[in-house]
Amino acid sequence: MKIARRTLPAVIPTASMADVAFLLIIFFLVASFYSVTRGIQFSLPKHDEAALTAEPEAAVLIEIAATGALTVDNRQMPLADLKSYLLPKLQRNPTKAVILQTSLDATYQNMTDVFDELRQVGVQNLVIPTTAELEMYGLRRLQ
Amino acid sequence: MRLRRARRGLVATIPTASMADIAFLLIVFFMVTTAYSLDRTPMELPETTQQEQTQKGSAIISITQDEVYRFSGGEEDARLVDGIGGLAEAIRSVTAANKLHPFVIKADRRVKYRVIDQVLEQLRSAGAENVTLLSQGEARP
Repeated sequence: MKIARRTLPAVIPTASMADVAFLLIIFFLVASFYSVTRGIQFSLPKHDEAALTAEPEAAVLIEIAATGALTVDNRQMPLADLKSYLLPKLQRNPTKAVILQTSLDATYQNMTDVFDELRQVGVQNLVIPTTAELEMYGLRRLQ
Repeated sequence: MRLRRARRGLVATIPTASMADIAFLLIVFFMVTTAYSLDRTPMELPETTQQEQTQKGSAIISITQDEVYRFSGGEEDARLVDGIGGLAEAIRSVTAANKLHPFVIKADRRVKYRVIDQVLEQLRSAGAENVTLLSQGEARP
């Protein structure tokens, strides 16, 4: 009697491949959400004496006090009014210099709040003088 | 005579052979687009509505609330540096090779501006030009 031989087909089990792949997808998806890679960009200008010592009419001077209160061109102003104050000035002169002076005791968030508003209005010529720079030009620093 | 219909058994299958291919394609996409943070120091970043993508390979200056400085040149993991002096040295080593190298300041929102002022001064004196203040998005009112 002849015994029929069963031939086993050669297969690679790929059923779980998709599962593994989806697991990896979820890992990369989650990893991409967690990495913070965004922020507000600015160019650090070179020591710009012309902008710092500009006439008051030529530049807008924004001072942030230690409490976070704003003084714009020597007038107290709430943060919400800053946009409406700057917009007409920028429409007349888009390259108008804006000097942002922050008190050393203010928090970083106080400064980024104002910076954020300035970017929204589209200030191109923003000067953020450091203490050393102000001392160099004999200007005062907010306390 | 009754004809017997030969019944061909059709098996219901869902073709899953290409599923893995699609999944791997998506993996490659996410692998390419995922940027690993070189500095994983947990902190509360300031909130801003305006945000731009930082450049890949930017040097990272990380400042925690208790004024601990960490620095990464953009390729290696962030390492602790010894105060503002150590940070200035690290910044100079990067700008000496390339003045246009982008910098990212990752600072806690509660940090005093005094600290940021010192860091900006070091960046300025080292000749760095391109600086981004890392922030987290804020819902637009």
